[in-house]
Amino acid sequence: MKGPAHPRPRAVLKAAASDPCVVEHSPSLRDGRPLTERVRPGSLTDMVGNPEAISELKRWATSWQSSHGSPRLRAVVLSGPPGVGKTTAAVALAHDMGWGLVEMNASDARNRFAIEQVAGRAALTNAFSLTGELLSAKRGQRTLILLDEADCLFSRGVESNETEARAPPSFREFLRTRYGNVESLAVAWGLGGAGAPSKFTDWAEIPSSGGRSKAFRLPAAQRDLADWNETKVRPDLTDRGGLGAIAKLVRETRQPIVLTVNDPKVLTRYSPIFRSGVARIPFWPVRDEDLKSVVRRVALTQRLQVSTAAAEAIVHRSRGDLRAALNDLDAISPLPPGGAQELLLGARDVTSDFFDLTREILDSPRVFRSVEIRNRLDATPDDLLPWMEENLPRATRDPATRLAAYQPLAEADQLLSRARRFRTFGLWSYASELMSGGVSIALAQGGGHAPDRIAFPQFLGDMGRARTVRALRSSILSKAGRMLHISRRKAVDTALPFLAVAFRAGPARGAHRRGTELARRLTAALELSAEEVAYLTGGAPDDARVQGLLEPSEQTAQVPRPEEPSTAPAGPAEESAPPPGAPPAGDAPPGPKKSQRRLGDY
Amino acid sequence: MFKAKVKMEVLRELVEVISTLVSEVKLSVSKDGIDVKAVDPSHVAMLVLKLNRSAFEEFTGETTDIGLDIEKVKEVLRLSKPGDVLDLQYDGGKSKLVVSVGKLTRHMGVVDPAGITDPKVPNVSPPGTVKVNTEELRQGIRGSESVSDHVTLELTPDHFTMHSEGETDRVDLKIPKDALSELSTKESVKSMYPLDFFSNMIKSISNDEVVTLHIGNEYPLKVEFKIAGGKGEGSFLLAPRVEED
Repeated sequence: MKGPAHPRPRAVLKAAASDPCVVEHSPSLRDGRPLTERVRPGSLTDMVGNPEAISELKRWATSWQSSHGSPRLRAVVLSGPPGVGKTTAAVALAHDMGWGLVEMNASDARNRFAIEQVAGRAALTNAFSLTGELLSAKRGQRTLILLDEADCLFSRGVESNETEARAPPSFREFLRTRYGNVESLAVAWGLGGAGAPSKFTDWAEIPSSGGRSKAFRLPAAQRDLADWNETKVRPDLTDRGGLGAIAKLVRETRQPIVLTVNDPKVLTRYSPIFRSGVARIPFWPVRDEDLKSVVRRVALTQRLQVSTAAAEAIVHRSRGDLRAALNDLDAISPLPPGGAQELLLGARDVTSDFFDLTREILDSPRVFRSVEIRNRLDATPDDLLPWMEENLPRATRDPATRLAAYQPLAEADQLLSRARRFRTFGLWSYASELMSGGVSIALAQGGGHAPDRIAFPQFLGDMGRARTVRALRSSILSKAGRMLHISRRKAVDTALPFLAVAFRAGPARGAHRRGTELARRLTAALELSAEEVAYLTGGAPDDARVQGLLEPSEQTAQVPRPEEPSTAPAGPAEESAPPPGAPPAGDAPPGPKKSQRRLGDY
Repeated sequence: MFKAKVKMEVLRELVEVISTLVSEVKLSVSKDGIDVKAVDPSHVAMLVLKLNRSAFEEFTGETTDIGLDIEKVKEVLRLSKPGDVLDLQYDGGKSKLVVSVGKLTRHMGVVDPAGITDPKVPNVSPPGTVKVNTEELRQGIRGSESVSDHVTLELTPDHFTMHSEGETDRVDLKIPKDALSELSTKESVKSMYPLDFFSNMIKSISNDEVVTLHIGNEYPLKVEFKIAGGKGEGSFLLAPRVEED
């Protein structure tokens, strides 16, 4: 790893080197940029770790040079944990190949529009390099399109679904939500009085984008207009539709694309194109020996004073994350080498502490540890419980000991639940005692000891993996709930089963077509996203069926709003539930539902 | 240090041209006027522009760079009416750009020019040159917009054509040599370009009645134009589409 040459004042450097206690804070020395930037390798040959991945990346890049036109796999997905060099490799690749680089980071707006505007254009067109050349794809001068952290698009999109407004409302809609009915509007604007413009009798009289009549020139109306304009112009910085745009990009591009992700599943789950249409290169955590040599080398070239013990602590703490290691190095380097550096590094590291702490608790039978637990963990006893639960049965084979050890753990669980429900967090200390001292003493009496390997709680792993799916489900539930005027929880039993039936692919005949039409109308009425429809149909968000359902049907588009939603949710119960007359009592009664819609609308 | 008075129309023209490519721009001020170089985020289009000091009502400038958020300038322009003269003042460094129009003064925060991409502009000299009436080009663009995302510009020794082909439809704008004030090319040349960029470029410079297009074979397009009634000039560069073989 070579650092880019940056002029540094010699004299200051010498002073710093001779006296280890000089605190290197002067900006001229550290030039304001983080260490990771200062030593970022500019070429693939300078990269540390992941040699297979890097040579594979090179091969892929060469396939762009050798063949005429574009190769079959025009995009590559670099996947792996943070800080192992995915982005660095992509940037270095562009440099090594003499390609241009168009980058879209997580800090840029990356919704569908932005991706189409920037990456989409670059993908089909030759480009200029910033050094003043035209890059001609014909002559092998490509432009690399780098979509950094492409997996972060999706989850943000789902989360934003619930809170975020959809298309900007019309002025009429805006007023309706603000005032509720025309009478309140008249009061607020001062309509209908002597010399004032007359009242509106119906919402329909208000043009969708404000009007020119006298009423709209009233100060109150002007204020509302200004507020409405405010809601309209707010740029959409969320990543909605981003993944769809990327899938399209991958299909159509004529320039090489690199996507970096932590979790490639987010992409492959979205569309099969990310499975078969791209080269996939995994990056792994950097090996400890490599990390050690990097830390040593960087400390040397950058004249950073680091004690050997601190260097080792850095390597140990980083767990294969090269960037984290360099950041640690950067953080401790202003301190004098020795104790202070190690002390700073000794600051807690949550996950590793969970492993260590679990082992310690299982192995040492003593009580009065709640304070210790609280101090050592940047987490609550709630978080520790799954760790104990996962590893306790591995600590002993004797059923009686297991029983004895589970007893205090169960009591701790009860206390934790009480603490949550009644907000009595004083109970936490008792729970901590029970799950540490109680469990370990019971184990010690039965001759148990910590297993060789402390396992990561399976429960937490499963929850983590299911997170996206759960977010989708809950977003569907809240949309259905809003329409049916029921809570999300209630929608689980009353709406979801019917939605599932309505979206399931039926036999490919007349009934199927009707079913599809129903699903399409439901999609439009509930304003479901591609991901949500895919969840209901069990397909991928960009397969043909899902896309078909998302297209507005002629009928839906023309049916006036008040009638359409009320028939649509009632639909599945009548049309597709097999036992006749089966709408269950739990379903929202159709009567009040209809009338509520009508009142709200007119 | 930079101090100038400028007609609202001139500033608006400048802003319109710049905003076709970027939302933030670095203005390089010198004692002769203002220079602008910009590249759009997808590196497909570039702009080089020079506004002479004569385009301003008054102008005093020492060499300095100003990083401007174009949207803010547009906001000020929206507050002024045709015929207004805007007063600009910048003391360099981290100070604000002070823009006054009539009794209104806006102290505008500037962007650090170091954070704005400063492209080197390639030396592009396409073999074919043609001068086209902007109005006619705009008609061609309007015709193409509903058909395709791309437009092909073609120049032969006896006519200029602009065409655009979709799945089912095709639009052609064909202007013979005698209807053009200038057409010079030795051979037939043609290239395909992204329509939206081309369209925005032409729209932003339509104050100029005639633009000069330089076209080559699968080569960047160069659009030369004048602004501020001839007291400034500039050119857009637009990279061609990648042709699959």
